[in-house]
Amino acid sequence: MKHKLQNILGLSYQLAKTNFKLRNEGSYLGIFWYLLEPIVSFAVLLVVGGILAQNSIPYYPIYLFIGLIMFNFFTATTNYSAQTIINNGSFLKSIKINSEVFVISGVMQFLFSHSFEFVLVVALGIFLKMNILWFIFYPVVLFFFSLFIIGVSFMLSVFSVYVVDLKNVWAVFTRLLWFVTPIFYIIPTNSLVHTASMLNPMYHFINIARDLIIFHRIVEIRTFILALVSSILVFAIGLYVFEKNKSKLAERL
Amino acid sequence: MTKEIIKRIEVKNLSKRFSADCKSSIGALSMFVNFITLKKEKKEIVVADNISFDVYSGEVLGIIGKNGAGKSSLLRLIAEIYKPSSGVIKTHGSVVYLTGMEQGIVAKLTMRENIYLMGSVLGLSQKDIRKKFDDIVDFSGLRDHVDMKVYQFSTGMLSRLNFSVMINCVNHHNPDVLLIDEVLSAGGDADFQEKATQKMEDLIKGGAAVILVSHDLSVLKRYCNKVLWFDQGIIKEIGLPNDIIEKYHNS
Repeated sequence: MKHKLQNILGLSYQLAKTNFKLRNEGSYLGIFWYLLEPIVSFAVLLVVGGILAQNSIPYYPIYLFIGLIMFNFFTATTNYSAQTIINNGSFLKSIKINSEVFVISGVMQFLFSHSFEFVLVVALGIFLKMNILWFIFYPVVLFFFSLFIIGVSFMLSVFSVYVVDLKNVWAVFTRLLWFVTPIFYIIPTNSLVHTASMLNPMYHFINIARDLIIFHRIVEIRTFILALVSSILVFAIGLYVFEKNKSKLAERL
Repeated sequence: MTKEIIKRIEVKNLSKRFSADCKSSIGALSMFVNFITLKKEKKEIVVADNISFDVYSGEVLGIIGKNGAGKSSLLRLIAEIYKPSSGVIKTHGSVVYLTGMEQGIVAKLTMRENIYLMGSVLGLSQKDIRKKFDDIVDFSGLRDHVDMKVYQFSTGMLSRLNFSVMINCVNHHNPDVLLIDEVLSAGGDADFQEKATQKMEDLIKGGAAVILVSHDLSVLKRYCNKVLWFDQGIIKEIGLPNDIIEKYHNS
């Protein structure tokens, strides 16, 4: 069991490294191209949400950037997972391989890029003369957030084999989710939208991270524990669904 | 050799059916429509129908049959890539399933990176690959191109790379059960072919229980102790290579 886990993580790491390299056109300068996208969206939203809308959020650039990169991590990983099994179908059919690696490697790959983006956030924090000590708590949030994402990814990767156009459906869904999650705006409390947002897990994860980093506090302990427990739960369910179905995946491809 | 003979592969009353739904009916929208209209289109393909056979260590079993007879599916069932619908498949020892691996090569990576990637996919640790690396490169005869990106390789060079990685990694696993699906010819020029055939022969005769799927009847005659004629999911005949191959040829 331990051996198997080691195998899965080792191979996932290799695959993630390769994919990351390939995505950056094989050079470390390529990372610049990769970071360009989040930086541009950040700049545009900063102008729209920060300067034009005149909102009163303290450290708005940080508020925005954290929301942006966390959401990107979620979108990129889950959209990747919604097609990874199909894309690697020929592999799955030609060798006996732990199919978990295709999902885990996807998560790892985007975790790499997420880390680079986070370094940018820290740099921005230093630039804005924030107390950056609080940034060191982010990995804790990220850990549970990743568990949540792995769980969702496992489920999506299985469903994508049964429903061929799931990746299209999911792409639209994440786009919608992007707009209902307060990334560049703030949701007025006591509104209907606010109540509805309670059901949006992304809202909670991003909020927890922002509260820690910007306001140096932990959100209501109830919400916090609920987020942790539910991320573990989603992870467990995803893993269960995947393990239950993985032996049937190869023949459906 | 004084190795004792062990039953390595045991197939008993194996059946396998695939549900072959039309590709068009597995989209989200059409699924929904079919659900509402209670429309059901289902077909079944039988790739194995209540078959039984055993393979012992040191034995080479050849499988012949027309395209689509279910030969590859049978190997995948034994390799546990597919699950049987009913019946039992037991294998004892380490199993290696060999098939065309060309899809594993990534064109934008260098040969070195490709060797590491394919090695890890084939189940070797980084340390093992590092140890094997020189063997692989020497065998392929592509020492001068190790740091060249693979998209610039010729077709022959690609098959050299592919075969070298595959054979070395398989040898590393020291398989007790070897399932070979149409990969006997290595490609490349005559020199390499000869070298590769020799390697393959060593592997086949190394004492593992081997199942060989091939359309090359001369190859089957050369290596096999037994040949199985597979047709539409049933064993049409099983017996000595020469007899079966002649019957198959005349059919």
